[in-house]
Amino acid sequence: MTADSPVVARGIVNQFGDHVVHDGIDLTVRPGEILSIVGGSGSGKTVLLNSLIGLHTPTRGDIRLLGEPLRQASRKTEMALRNRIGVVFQQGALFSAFTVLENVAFPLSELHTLPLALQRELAQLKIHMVGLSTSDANKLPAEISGGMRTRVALARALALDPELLFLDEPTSGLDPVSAELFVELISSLRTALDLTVVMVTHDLYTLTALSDRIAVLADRNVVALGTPEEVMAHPHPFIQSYFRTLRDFPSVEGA
Amino acid sequence: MIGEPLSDQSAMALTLLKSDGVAALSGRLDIQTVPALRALLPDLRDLPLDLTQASDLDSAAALVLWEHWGGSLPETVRLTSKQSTIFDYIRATPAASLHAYPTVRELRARRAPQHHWGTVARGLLVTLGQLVLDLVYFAAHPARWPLKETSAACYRSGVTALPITVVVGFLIGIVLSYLSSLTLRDFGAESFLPLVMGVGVLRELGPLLTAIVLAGRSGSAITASLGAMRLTQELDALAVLGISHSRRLVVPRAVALAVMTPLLVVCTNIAALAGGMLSGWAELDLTPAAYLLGLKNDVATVHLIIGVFKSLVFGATIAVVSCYFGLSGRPNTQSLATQTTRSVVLSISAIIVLDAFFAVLFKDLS
Repeated sequence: MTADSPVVARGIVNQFGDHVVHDGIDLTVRPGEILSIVGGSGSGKTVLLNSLIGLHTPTRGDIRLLGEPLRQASRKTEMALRNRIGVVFQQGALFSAFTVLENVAFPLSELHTLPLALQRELAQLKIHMVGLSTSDANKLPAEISGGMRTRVALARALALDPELLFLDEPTSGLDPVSAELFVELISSLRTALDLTVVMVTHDLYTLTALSDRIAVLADRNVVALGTPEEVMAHPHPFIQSYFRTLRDFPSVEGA
Repeated sequence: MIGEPLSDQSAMALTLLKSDGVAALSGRLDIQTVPALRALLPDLRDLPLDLTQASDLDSAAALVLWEHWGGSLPETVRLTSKQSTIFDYIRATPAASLHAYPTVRELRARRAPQHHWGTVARGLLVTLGQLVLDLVYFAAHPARWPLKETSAACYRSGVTALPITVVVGFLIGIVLSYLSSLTLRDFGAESFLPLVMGVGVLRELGPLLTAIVLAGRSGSAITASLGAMRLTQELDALAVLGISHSRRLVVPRAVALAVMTPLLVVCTNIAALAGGMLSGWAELDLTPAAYLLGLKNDVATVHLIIGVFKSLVFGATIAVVSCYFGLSGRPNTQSLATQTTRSVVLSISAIIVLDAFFAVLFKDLS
């Protein structure tokens, strides 16, 4: 059972009109790992992530999430599946009319099985878990900083204790200190909560500090997949130019 | 648990085994089985608990047990190392934080309507004043006039509203003419139909109907689009570029509505009078020729002029009200909704109040 991969994508083709974004992508995420997806602008990272989480149905190809095929999933199965995965969007995508606490408690209240007091306690626990204080809980998303918004989004994604977590550029727009705190947060939470994480990121620090494996998207396909060291040694021109900054400023890598 | 078919989950329900004074929970201990766990709590009492046979423990289930133990972890409990890390997280959260919840007063302060009527009146006055100042500015600098925006606003708020205003006008014309015919016939005053229709439509119904339709249709669209620009920070982007919201956003829309409303009113008038003509023909045998001749001879031009003037004011009013509510919203979806509602309600109310005011003002012009 544990040998089964939480995310299996086979032959993903995404085409918009004549524009082919992905041409037969195969990707398997191993249980418990942090897999990062990198690629240049317009290489279809977000489209791939949206395909994996079922927001976008690929033109062709099959995706299995936690063993369930997305394409044939009945509505009931899909709903059950949604409770087992968490997604953090780029800008957080918090409900702007809800306070932080209400945002985090929302998925819990939608279960309709938990008493109100437990929902609140759980939400406060998650808020505390991602490093926010109780005094932030009653603020509206518009009143908190970008870094805090990412944390709230993470708390909301963790509300149902998912097995699988998707992060879309979680540290973009964060200052280096906040980004570092976020990286520490994710790595401590993944061991505690036994998470599998799939992440799209541009940030080299986040990439090297968190990833167990990296998948590089270029030329409409995954051109390299492996540990950070393996990927950085790959001769593909995009990969070479992408990681050049790391070689030019090795101190970044040592961070 | 990964890859486990979801249909088997119910088979993994929670069970409680008691032996030798030790209670052992087995099965799934997670958010889905929390109701079952809570039902088992009275049975647990203070027995030493063994969780090592439970296949899972998530924070929801852990929190239920934590609360059952009164906010601490008894030494007698047996946990796997993974399970104890979850309790570590709970222990790290101060009990006060865990139970903190905003009071009704705090929530109300947050949700308090941001606009009192005084604020609204002031805001509307400021928007109107700024509009006048900007129009003076553009009169002095005609080359800076945002021509494309104005043209686009004319099309969106005016041209696309034509079908609905014409249809509404036509139908109301038929109804008004039909109901008047019934009364006029009783008095043998069939020939007064053109006068009744002409004055009623040109002076009152045409402008009023058009303005109300526009307030619901174009005014709400203006508020919603400006409110969405607040949400997406486009308004902030304009501000940092040093571009005045009033000049770039309010002026084109206000001018467009002030220009387009009278034009629409003329179309609505024609449609309503045409409806009246058809109905009069069918009901009173008043031929179209006689109807049109009656309109020409009996209805003074001043009624048309008053109606067109009123519609210009109505159009500008709708624009000012809807722009004010669009720009003064807060960046959240709830505010966008309430601002749009307020905008439409206040526009329509203002139109009706202004109409009453004009009725008194122009009472000697006929």
